[in-house]
Amino acid sequence: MPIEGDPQSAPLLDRVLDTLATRTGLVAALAMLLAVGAYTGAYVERAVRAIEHQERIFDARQARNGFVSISDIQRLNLVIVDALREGQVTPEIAERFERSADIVYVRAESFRRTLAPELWDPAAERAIEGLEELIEISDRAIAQGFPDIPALATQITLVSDRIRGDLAIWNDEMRRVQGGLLADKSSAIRAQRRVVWFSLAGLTVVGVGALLLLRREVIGRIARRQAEERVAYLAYFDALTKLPNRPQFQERLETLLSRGEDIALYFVDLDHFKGINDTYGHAAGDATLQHVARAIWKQAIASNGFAARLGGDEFAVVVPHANAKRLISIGQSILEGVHAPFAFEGEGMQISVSIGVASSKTVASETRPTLDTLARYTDFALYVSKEEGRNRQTLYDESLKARYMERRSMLDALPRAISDGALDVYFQPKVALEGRRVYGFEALVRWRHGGRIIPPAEFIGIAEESGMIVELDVFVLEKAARVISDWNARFGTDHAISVNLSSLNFNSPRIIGKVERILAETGLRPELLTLEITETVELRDWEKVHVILTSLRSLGCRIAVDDFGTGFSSMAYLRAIMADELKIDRALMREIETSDQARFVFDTVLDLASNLGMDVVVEGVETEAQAEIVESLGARYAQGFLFGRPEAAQDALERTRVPVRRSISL
Amino acid sequence: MLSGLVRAVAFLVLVALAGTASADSMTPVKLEPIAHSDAQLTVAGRDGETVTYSVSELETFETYRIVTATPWRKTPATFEGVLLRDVLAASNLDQMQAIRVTAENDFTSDLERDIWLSVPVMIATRVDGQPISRRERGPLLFVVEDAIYQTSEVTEERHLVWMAARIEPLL
Repeated sequence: MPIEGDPQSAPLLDRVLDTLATRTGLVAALAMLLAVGAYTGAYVERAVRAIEHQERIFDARQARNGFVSISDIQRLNLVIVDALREGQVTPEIAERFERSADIVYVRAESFRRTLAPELWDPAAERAIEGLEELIEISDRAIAQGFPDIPALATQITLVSDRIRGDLAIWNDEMRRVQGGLLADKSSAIRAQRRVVWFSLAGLTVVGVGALLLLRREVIGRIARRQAEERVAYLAYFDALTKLPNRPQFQERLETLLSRGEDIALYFVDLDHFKGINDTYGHAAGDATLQHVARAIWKQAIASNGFAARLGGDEFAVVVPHANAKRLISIGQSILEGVHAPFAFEGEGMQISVSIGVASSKTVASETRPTLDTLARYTDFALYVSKEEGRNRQTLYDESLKARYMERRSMLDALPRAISDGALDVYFQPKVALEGRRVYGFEALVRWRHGGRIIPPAEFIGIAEESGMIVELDVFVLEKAARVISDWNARFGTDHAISVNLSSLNFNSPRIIGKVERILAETGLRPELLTLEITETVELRDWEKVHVILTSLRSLGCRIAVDDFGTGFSSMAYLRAIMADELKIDRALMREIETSDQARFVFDTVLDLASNLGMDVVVEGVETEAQAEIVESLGARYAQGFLFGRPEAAQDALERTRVPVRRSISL
Repeated sequence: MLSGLVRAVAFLVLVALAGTASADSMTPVKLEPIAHSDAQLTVAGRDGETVTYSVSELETFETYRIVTATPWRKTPATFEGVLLRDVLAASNLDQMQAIRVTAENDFTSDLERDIWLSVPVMIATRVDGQPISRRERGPLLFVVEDAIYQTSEVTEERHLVWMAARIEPLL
């Protein structure tokens, strides 16, 4: 509400209103109003009392007395005039005379009685005395029987004139008092009007203040309530996707389970979500999460269930069904719904998810279905989905039971595997194609568990998830280095050894120290040690990795890129890795005999490696024909079943003492 | 219409009050005839017909006695006379909105219906057993019991008409 012409006063007005709209402001305004109201009220009260006082004193009667007295005197005079004319006082005249005198008597008595002391006036006093004199004269004339009419007439006339004169003065006085009274009344009314206006203004101010205060209170209250609601909302809902969050999910699921109802739990994880964030940015990542949330929620509601975001890129769905067919159908709808393309900043995007499903009924057949147990089964189903290539769902059922049990037992046992001595190091020979001479081995780990030998493909994942892969890799490295070094020392050979290192090892420079220690302890010549890194590894920080690899190479070790040809590689990657050796994945081998394209790719890779100064080892050579082809294309080193299967280190070494033949029958 | 309704309600209330008031302080008496002055009271009816009463004729109405002081008499005196209302009723004036009373000195006073209905107004013909002299404001003096007169909101001094001579309806 700006006041015109004075921009300075607008904030002032606001300040005033703000002050008014506080409790103290209101009370102050009210107090002021009451104080001034009381003062003016008292003022008006005084004025009115004064008027009332005046009115008590000044009675209309008193003014009238003056006028009526004149007519009463006149009556008497008229009688006397008649008597004069008649020349005598007839009985009739006498009676009239007496009556008139009575009237004057009563008048005089009234006048004197009503004349208030405050209003005493010499004129009035004289008038009354005159009246009393008239009465005296009349009484005397009546008593004496009217002896001298003329003289009586003269007396009466004289006194009457005198009285009239005094009454005239008195009447003027009365008029003046009346006028004054009227004026006082008018000013009292005006004062009252001022009081009324002032009270109205004051009450308006107070009213406005009260309204402002009320409004402020209400607004404050609303804001507080909204904040509380928001807090309550945030406590149970995910801010980005508006889905229920983990606490709410847990509560609701526990309630449903405690009621013993048939329910199924889905875990939905986004595939390669990290890639989206890294490539397109976090805004795109958020949009993706929201798209997935919408798709999931839609299906959940359609199935009378609910969905939740558990965190990161993990979602869950709970539905009140246990029928396998129904569950699969729901899962399929989720996969399709999520897979539908969506737009982000004009770009089309697509994402897939991996789903694991388990029903309380299935769980109940093996153990008591609680939040924990149900989640574990669902989690396993999700793991299977991921293992089998993602973008699919897996429903936990009887057929998975064996796998589940095994995985659980592996999860439990693996941490102890090293200390239990359940890990074995196997060797697979690496040969130079020319002459088929064994020049080294690849070290591979095997786990004796549950009555069988478990290959790393089955437990490396667990090892990486639990973080014990580092310990495992170091164990293998140490064992392999020791065996080879001892053998070399005993038999004077120059066998090399390749050891796989998980990418987790390259997160910290500690690996450098460990390798150095092992080299020192085992006495293995560094140039005989090759450290193999998988091509598909997701290296987080290439700078750091580069530094670590540089340090390792400075120790004298060689670096090899394993499984080359199956995934993502760029020149920059290869140069960052600074590989000495490229190991071509066995997948390329499978088609080398039948596909020209495979041969072409193979040729190109050999060229590339040679240009970069890297040795190439061809993996997966199983037949003589394959060996001839790759040799003819220029490959010099190879590994595969043709030249030897992985077997216990000692056994593999022993075998080298037997001359290598062109083919090995097993 | 509202004011008419209010007046009707007020009227009923006053009638109820009057019912209680009339019998209280005024006591009916039987008066022995005495020699009165030759004063007369003329009552004019609504249709213009007049009836004139001498003081003795007035006393043929129901007579009452009241002991009271007046604005002019500090010491209470015994007044005897008739009810104004009865006299008005005889001429069908008791339901009139107002009447005008004229005194012998031509003084006039207008009385509203409320007054003679809610307050017992006596037309006194005797004081202390004697006719009322003119100097005592007689012969016919309107009297209201002092206690009632002081507390009533409707009575004023002008209602206590002295030397009453004529009553007529106020139209």
